[in-house]
Amino acid sequence: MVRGMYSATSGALVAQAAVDTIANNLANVNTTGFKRTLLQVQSQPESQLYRFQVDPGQVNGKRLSGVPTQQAIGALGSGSQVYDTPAVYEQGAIASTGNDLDVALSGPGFFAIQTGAGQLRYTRDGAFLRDQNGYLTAQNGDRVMGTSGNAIVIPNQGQVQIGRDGTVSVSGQTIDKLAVVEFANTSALRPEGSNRFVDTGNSGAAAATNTSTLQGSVEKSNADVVRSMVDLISNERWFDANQKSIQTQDDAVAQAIQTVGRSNQ
Amino acid sequence: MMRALYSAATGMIAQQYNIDTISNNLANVNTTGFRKNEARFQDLIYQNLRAPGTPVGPSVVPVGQDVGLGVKVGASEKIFTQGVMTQSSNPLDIAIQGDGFFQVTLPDGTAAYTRDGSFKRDANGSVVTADGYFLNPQITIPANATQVQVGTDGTVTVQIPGQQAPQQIGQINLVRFVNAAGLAPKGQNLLVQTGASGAPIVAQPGLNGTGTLQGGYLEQSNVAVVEEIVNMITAQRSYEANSKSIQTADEMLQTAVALKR
Repeated sequence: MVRGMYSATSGALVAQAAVDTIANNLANVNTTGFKRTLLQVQSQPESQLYRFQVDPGQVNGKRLSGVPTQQAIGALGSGSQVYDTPAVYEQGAIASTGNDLDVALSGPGFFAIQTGAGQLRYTRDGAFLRDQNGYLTAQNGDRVMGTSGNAIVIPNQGQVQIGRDGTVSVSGQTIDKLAVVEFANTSALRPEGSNRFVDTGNSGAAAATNTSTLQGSVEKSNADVVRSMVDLISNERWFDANQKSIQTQDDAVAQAIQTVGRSNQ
Repeated sequence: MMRALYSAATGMIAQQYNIDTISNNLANVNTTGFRKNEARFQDLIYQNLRAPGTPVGPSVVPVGQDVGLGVKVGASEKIFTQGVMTQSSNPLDIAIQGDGFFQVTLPDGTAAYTRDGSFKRDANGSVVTADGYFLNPQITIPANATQVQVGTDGTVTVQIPGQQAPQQIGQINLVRFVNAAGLAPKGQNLLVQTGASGAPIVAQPGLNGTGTLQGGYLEQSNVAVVEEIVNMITAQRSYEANSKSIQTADEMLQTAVALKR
């Protein structure tokens, strides 16, 4: 029917997706090491419009068969669509906890952790624990990897000290070093939930050189309440504007049907 | 309906849990040997709408399209930092300076662990907790004994009338766990062993990584009021922010419904 109605619908759907994303960011405003998601929007492909016409000619009062021609009018956009949802890897605020096994990352790196199924994952959540076997683990039991290639085991006694470069030592004796990884292409990382990120390939993973570790602190979420509130308002208005656009076109069609199309009265 | 509604609801539930935890910490600000809890959160799974690497003509999609679905409580972690020591006049008030727990025996014979060292004497002279649970190993103070003393290494000595030297009548041992945060709180200042905590490691105070004992002192709660209040403020504001997401989603749905007149 009316093309604009579908364009406006696509805009409203994108506004909805934007609010979904903001809601998730706000839900995670207190999640340690959380990275907020950005919604990027692009216009849908434009289509070229042409006017088709048939020019009938006349020779000596006799009609000839027409010559069909097409004439370009211009381009017509057809709405918007979600292009990407990249995570924003901006540094979160670092809060001191005084807990020996809490480690915050300052810089672009990620901790390497191993899931229960033995898969390698990455996280910025450094609120670690020690499990019953002495393994240094994330909150859900994923083991924290060392640069030695093995999961880090903390001996039973002694003061745990973690240096700025991630070196883990207990009572002055070096155990291992936290495996901190930096990515040349962070867009290849995908959030998986449980504060974990998956490397989908082509990420350019390399041992960290620009990241330092801070013992006794955690990195807070980088979700920003003020920005999210503003985004909520603007996206709601965007949704409303699209609704008005649909309504206006609906009115026009109604007018066409009810008034123009009114037959003999 | 919109995912935002449900994501924001998980956010509000998480913050409720956060406030519950903070309130419990504040309620125990004067509980001897109490160890504060901290709620830790994790993001929920992401709904993957388009995977990165999907071929698009000669190229591939550089980044994916994911929608997060909210938050969940990852853990409620007990934080074992040292509490403030206060002096008391009771020699059976014992504080642990450092790591470790007192071991007590519950009426059903099982073991429980506590940092609360406000011990008492029962009618038979046995050393018990405020709830009447025996310290393990059990220590009985003779009826005629005076001047009970607890050494930093856990030795309990008393002065018996008519005798010159103080007599040792028992030894208080401490217990450590590989993962003390894995102990389960039982109320009454008691914690019990779980599969996550590891087996108890019994040692004389001061050995094997355990702390030392201080007779005549009590260890206070490690709840820091300022910290809890700040956490309470952020939790309340987060709750409020999530309610705005719900409100926005609701108004948008209202707008969508209003399309049809």
